[in-house]
Amino acid sequence: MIDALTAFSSALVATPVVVFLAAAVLVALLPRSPIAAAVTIIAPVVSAWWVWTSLPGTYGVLNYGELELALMRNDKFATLFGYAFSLAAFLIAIYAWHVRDKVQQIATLLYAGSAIGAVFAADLITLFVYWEATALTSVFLIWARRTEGAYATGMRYLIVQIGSGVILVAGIAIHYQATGSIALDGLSGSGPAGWNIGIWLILLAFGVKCAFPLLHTWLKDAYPAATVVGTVTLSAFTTKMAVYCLARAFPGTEMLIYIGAAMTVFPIIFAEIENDLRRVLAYSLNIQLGFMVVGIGVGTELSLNGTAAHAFASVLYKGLLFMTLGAVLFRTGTSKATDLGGLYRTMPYTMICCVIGAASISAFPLFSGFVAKSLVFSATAKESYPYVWAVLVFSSAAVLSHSGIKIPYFTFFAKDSGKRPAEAPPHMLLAMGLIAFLCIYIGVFPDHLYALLPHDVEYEPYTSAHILSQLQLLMFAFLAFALLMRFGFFPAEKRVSTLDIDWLYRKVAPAVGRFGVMLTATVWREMARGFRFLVGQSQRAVGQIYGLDGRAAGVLPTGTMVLWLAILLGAALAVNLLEVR
Amino acid sequence: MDHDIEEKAPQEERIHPIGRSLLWIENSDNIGRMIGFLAVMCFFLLVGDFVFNRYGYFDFEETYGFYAVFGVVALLFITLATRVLRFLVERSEDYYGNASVDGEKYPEKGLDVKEFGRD
Repeated sequence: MIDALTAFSSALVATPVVVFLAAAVLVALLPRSPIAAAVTIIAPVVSAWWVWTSLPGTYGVLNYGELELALMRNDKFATLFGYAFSLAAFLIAIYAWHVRDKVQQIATLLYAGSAIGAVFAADLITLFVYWEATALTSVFLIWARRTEGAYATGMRYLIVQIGSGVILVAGIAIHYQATGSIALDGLSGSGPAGWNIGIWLILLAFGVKCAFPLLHTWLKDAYPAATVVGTVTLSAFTTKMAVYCLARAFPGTEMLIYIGAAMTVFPIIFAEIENDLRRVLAYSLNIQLGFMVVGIGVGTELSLNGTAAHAFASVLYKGLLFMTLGAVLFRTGTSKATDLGGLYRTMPYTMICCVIGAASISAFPLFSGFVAKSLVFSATAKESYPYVWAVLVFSSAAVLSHSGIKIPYFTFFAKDSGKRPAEAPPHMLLAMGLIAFLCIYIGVFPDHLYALLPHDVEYEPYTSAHILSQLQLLMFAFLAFALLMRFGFFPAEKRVSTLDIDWLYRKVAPAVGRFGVMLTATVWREMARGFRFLVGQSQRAVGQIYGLDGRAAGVLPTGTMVLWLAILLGAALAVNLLEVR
Repeated sequence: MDHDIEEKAPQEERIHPIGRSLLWIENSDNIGRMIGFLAVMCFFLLVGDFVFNRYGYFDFEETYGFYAVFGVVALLFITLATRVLRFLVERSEDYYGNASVDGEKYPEKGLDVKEFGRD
C-alpha cells in the first residue's frame, strides 16, 4: 500500500499537475487575502516553467499488473497545449485578482491542473481520471454564482460532463478487452471499418466535451451561467482538451471533417438571435471548435498544425472577448444586448480590447485569427474538399457578423443605453491588455507561434492573394451589415431566450414524462373505479337475494320450521317402518 | 444623497476623454460618411482583383469578385435566415423559469457596479 502510494506520488511529481495541487492546498490554508490571489498567479508561471524545462519523452510511469500508465508524455504537441493552458491560467488569475471567493480560486487551480494533466497523459486510463476531474472542478465555477438558476444549470452541466466520462470509461474497458491496449495515440488505426464499439464510445465521449452538433447544448447552457471569472475559465480548458484528445486519437478520420463543418454552421442562427452576449460567445466558441475539428479530420501535418495553432490562438481571443464582456457585466450587472449600448463613452479601454478580440476572431490580417485559421483553410482546400471549404468560408463571414460586429457593436456602440459604468478595474485591464497585445503580436509575427507547432511545415500566411481574398470577404460582409443596419433590415435585439436542442430534454422530455405519469394514473384510477363498480353491483345482486330484504329471507321462519319438522319426523317414521319390515 | 449635486452637471462631464473624442460617430451624417468610406475601400479591394493575380486552390475561387460576392451573399442569407427562424426559436426570458439564469439578475455580491466618475 505504502509502496503504491510512493510510486504514485513520485509519478505525479513528474507532471506540472503537482504545482496546481500544491497551490490549491496553499490557497485553502491561507486567509482570504491578496496573498492567496498571488498564489493563483504564480502557480501557472511555475507550471509553464515546468513545461519549458521538461525533456521530451515519457516518464512518470506506473505499473499495475499488465497495465502501464504514464502520467507525463512530453512532445511538441503536448508542450504547445501545456503552454496554452498555463498561459490561460496565468491571465485568468490576473483577471480574477479581485476575487476573494476561495471556492472559485481553488476550483480554477484544480480545473487548470486537471486540463494540463490530461494534456500530458499518455494513456487512456490516466486521461479518464483527469477527464472526470475537469468536470468535477469546473462545475463549482457555475455554482459559485450562488443562484437557483445557476444551481440547476450546474446540475445539468455536471450530468453531461460526468456522462461523458462514464461513456469514456466504458469505451476504454471494451477497447482494452478487445485489444489489450490503453494507448491514446492513433486510436483510430486504419479507419472506422476496423473499430470496435469501445472506440466508437471513446469518440462519443470526446464528442460530448468537444460539443459536436446535437451534443453541444451544455456549452451554451452552462458557460453564460458561470461567474464573471468562471465563464472566462470555462472557455479556455474543457473544449480545447477535447480537441487535443481528438487530434491525438483520431487524426485523419474523415467523418470529423463533416462533423466539424456542421459545427461551424449549426450555431450561426442561434448566435445571431441570442440576446445574452456571453451566450453569443459560447455559440461562437462552438463554431471555432468546428474549424479545429475539420483540421483534425483532414489529418495532414498542415491541418493538424492548423488545429493546434487555432486552439492556441482561440484560447487567447476567446478569453479576451469573454473577459471584456465579463468586465461589462462586472460594472453594469448585465451582459444582455438589449440592456447595453454606448459604453464606449466610459469604458474605452475595454472597448478597444473587445475590438481587438473581435478583429482576431474574425481573422483580419495582422491579427492572430488570420494566421491560425488560414492553416486549416489551406489544408482543406489542398486536400480537395471544395464544399467543406465553401462552408468554412461562409461560416467565417458569419463569425464576422456575430462575434466580430455584434459583440462590440451592441455592447459599446449602437444605441445609448444611458449606462455610464466606470472603466474596468486595473487588474482586468492588465489581463485584457496582455491578451490584446498577444493577439496582435501573433498576428504580426506568426513564426513565433508556428515554431511551437507539432509538425515542421513551411507556411506563409501573408501572400497578396490570401490577404486580398480575406479582406474582400470581410469588408464586403461588413459593408452589407452596415447597410442592413442603416436601413433597419438587421434583426433587432429582443429580450428572449432561444430554444435549442436542449428544449427536447428540458421541456419535451419532462412533458412526455408528465403525460406518461398522468396517463398511467388515469388508467389506474378508471380501472379501479370500474372494478369497484363491478364488485358493488355483484354485492348488490347477492344482497337482493340473500340480504335482509332478499327473496331468500322473505319467508317467515316459524311456520316453515314446524312444517319442515313434521316432514322430517314423517320421513324418520317412514324409514323406521321400512326397517321393521 | 450626495449624488444629487453631480446629477445636475451636464451629461458630457461624465465621459472618458477617449470616449468624448469618439462622440462624432453617433451623428447620422457621419455614419453615412463612414459607410461611404467603407464602400470606397471595398471598391478598391475589388479593383485589387484585376491588379493582383489572386490565385486560389479552386477554379471558382479565382473568378473576379468571388469573395466580395460571397461575403455579401453570406451576410444577406444569414440576416434573412435569422429573420425567419427567430419566430421558431424565440421564447420569453423566463421560459425555463427558475431552472435557468436567463430571467434572473446577476447577484450583486459578485459584482462591483460603479458609475463613471463616482467613486
